Amino acid sequence: MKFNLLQKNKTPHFLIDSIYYFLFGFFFFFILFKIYSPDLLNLKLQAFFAFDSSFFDYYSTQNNGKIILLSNFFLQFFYYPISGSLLITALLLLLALIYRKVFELSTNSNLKGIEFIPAILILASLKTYSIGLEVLMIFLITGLFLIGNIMLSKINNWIKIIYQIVSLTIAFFVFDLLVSSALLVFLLADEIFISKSSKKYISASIIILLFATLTYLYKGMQISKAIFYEANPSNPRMSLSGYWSILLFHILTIFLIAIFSNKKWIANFTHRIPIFLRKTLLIIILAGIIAGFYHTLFVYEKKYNVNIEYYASTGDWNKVLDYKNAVEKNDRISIFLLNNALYHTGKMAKDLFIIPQKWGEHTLFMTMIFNRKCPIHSSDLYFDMGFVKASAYWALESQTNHAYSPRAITRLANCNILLKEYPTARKYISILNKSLIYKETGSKMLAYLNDKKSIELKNTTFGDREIEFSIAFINNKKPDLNLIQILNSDPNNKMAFEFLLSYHLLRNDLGQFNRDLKKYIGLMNYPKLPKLYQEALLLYYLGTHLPYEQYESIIDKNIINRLTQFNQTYIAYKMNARLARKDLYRNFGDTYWYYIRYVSPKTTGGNIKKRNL
Amino acid sequence: MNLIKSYSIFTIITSILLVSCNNYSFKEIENIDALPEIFPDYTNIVIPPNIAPLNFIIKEDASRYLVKFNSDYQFVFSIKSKTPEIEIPMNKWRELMENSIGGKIRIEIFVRDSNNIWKSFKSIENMISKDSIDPYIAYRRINTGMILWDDMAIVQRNLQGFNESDIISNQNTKNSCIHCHTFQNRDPNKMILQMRRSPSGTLIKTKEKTLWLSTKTPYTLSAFVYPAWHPNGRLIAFSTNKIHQNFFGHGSRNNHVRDDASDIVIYDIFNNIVFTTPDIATNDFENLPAWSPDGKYLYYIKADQKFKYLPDSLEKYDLMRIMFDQESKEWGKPEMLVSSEKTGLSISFPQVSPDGKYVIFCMADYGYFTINNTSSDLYILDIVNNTITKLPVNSSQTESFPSWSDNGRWILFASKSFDGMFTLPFFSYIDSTGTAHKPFVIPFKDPSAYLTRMTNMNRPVFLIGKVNYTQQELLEIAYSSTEEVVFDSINVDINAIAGATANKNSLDDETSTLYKNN
Repeated sequence: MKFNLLQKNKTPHFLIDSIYYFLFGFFFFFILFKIYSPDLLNLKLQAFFAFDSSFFDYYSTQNNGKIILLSNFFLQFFYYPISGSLLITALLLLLALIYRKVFELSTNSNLKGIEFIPAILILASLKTYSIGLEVLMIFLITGLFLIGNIMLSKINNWIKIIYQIVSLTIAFFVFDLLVSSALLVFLLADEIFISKSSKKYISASIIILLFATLTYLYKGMQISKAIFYEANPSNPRMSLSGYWSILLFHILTIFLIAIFSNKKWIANFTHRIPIFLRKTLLIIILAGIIAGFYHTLFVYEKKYNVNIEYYASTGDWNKVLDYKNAVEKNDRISIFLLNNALYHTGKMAKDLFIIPQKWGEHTLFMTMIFNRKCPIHSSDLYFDMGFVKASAYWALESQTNHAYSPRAITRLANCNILLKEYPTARKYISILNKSLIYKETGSKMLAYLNDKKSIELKNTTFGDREIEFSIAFINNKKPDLNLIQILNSDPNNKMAFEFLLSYHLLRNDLGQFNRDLKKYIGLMNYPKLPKLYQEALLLYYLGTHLPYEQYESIIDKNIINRLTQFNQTYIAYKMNARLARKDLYRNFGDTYWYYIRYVSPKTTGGNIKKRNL
Repeated sequence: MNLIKSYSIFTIITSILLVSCNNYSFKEIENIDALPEIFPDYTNIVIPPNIAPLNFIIKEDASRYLVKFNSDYQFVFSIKSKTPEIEIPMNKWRELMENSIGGKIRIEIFVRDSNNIWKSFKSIENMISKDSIDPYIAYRRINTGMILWDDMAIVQRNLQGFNESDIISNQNTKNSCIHCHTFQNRDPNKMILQMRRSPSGTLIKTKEKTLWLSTKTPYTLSAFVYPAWHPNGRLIAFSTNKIHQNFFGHGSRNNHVRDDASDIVIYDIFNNIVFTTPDIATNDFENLPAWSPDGKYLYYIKADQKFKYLPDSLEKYDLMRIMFDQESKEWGKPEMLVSSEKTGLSISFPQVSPDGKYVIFCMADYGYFTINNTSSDLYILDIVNNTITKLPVNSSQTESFPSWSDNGRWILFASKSFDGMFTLPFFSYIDSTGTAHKPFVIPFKDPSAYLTRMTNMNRPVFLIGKVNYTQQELLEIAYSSTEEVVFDSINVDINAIAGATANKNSLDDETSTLYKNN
């Protein structure tokens, strides 16, 4: 007789099951739609799926490319949050059904509720933000293979062994290492923990040998390397906290449940508890697992970063600024986007230092030192500034991280239309046209290209501003030189102006700040000199010993008084910068004086290197 | 009952056949006195008899398409399609090619428009050459970024079919940069690969010998860069370069790669010795070596050192060659073959034909790294008659990196002619008079892939067979320790080597090896 955590119900409780599935479905949908949607929407910025042979070919050359393809296929539907949430909810419920069957077959029990555990764990693991839906795809595929395995084990062990060989070979050749190695672990766990067959060790040995042979012959890898391939620390694209740690965690959980469900003492213990209480307890345990998992994996800073990136990509700059106090000081990309938000909301010249600027000019421009995540943001920045050639250049660089990033492709199509490189633009549009989601965008662009009048009109996207600046070369190391050339071609370019002055301020270069301010401010139409510029100028004038009479008409009295107070506070702490810091931060944390005294990497000796990114 | 069932099945099948025949039968045809527009343009070309089917898209709006393939005037097969993409079955294409070697194929295209009227066009006629093409090419799959890279691989593609496979992918080398794949005389068993960023080094692999080298020496400007393998299999010429690149802020070009200095050195793979001669390692910029098929001449390009101090747009390279005696190891004197002063253009990527009669190369308005330079076009130099001809294979976009097939009848080059951004390999037939014929692009199984492919097929070179080294074999070499090459400093005037940092006297004499004594 089998002993189970929950006694098997002899009569089918279709209604109860339906309610269970409905409730869990609602829960999944709620989490996906209400909590995850903005985050997954952000992931969709990188998710692209095209019905196109070259697109499939590209992914077939990638390690585990087919799983990424599948994942991207579903993820793209988050372009419309409701459709994405519904679809993933359906897949999670399908996963629950598959594991229900797995549990039923492997434990001879009807473990209501437990079949939802893999789905819940996958839902929770989405919170790591480092993976898409690949784990869900792996679970679905391996789950289907596993059902066949368990069913056949009840018929004949030799047939089961043949099935294992065939399924592992198919998984290896069709889905590559990630799925086949996951399937291997599942099959081994099934053999070791659940199977009662006398041939279980023969079976386990055969599949290990098979996998070792396949990986050696076709991948040239030893089995251990193949199994942990994606968790190889030498692979910069996948950390140990990537796929495999999550997969292993899931696999262990599932089989612990499977083992416990067959233990006599647990069954004896649970048998005394009334069925209603047992189910309630189970739900509490499940809720505990969810809460624990959620708490363990949830990284607020990452969530903020994801949300900031999402709102920045949609141009919702006020929402970006909502995160100004929550963002982590070392989160360079978020601070870069907050700086952009300051400009787009007209606050850059006033509030630049309400944002933590410990990176100095490196959070204003990410072209001097950058990693793979930076280029698309540099492309955005230059596009907004009207420097289309530089925007296209950085969009091309961003494709190194993700060749089929819809964001990069759309940008490149736009830039090439503006640069009148029409054959190149058509290429990118052709790709967009192969996507369900981006087809409409592509068609609109194509209509532009096919209508010559529209092409001329398209240049008015930037109003009367120049978009073909006479800049010989893009200067990535000294972006201020790009900005000066932009301003020389397009003197009304306020974005270039404010970024140029902010760049000088963040580099503590007051001399250059003073020169460029005087040179370009004439056409900027500020009602009065912005606060930060006054603060910086005052510091400059004091440093050059300019008589007060010569700047009293430029600098507000209030600013002069504030600097006096700043100095008095400093003196009050006997010029001890460390002791004065807290007080000064409280009253002057948003001033340029505080930045230059306490925050600037030039003052603090902060060394910005690539490894800090 | 069975009779009724059989009758029903017969009726259904007959109806389907009738309907389908009806779709492609026509009483009235509107004749159009023009060639149909097809993409890629496979019209009036010379085709190698062993190439994969040249699939194409008919660029005519229609509801039905019918394409008839004829060997000269004998019908071979036809394809009916509801879509404009025409994918030719491999076995029928083979039959067509076999029937047409040395003759012509005629492709008749019919389309049915929205008014159910069939239109026919002038037949497309293509020559089928008796000269076959090398069965494989190798190329570098790379995206369009100019600083960053993520996914990069050296790939081999079967030209007789559509299969391709990675020789080595950087997904397995911590995303290192893999570049400058080179084969000795198109032999897949004799291969050079270079890698930058750990694991980094120069990999030389033959059936007999495996070398994984660290190639920067105190005497040379840099590690080895652009290679050319001597026909004797023992020597490899490499350039050493100090390279930087700029990114254009306007106009249609994206980047400009230039050198601050460059030299040419020779590596002896059996003795692990690097040597050179002052004439190819001067303060001027010697670059892009290429051997003549008999191994008696080293061709290369050279720019005057003055260009280092002048704007990029003035920098021009000449085509040079220098005699080399592989027995005595004696060098001749450099001779200028094509002067940039005379042509007004800058020369790059010279490649000598297998019969030694021609040199094919690129000329552009300036610079040598012309793969992103829209002004770069292909030219051919007749060495005997000393005449230069612009090849009729050029487009308004970039043509670069030419190479010769083993029989010298086909050239392969990289072109961005389709969209100005992505590089694809093109082929052209070169007849015995050195005349090039209209080029055609590498065939893809799905002809619409040209419109959407997002990676470049850079630096394509012919191979006479498949590279059979496994990726794991190459990876194991790449993850082993590198061997340091030794520079033969005794025979060389070190001061002549541009950018040399070492003082000859300060170096340990034991590290200096007399090449001739080995």
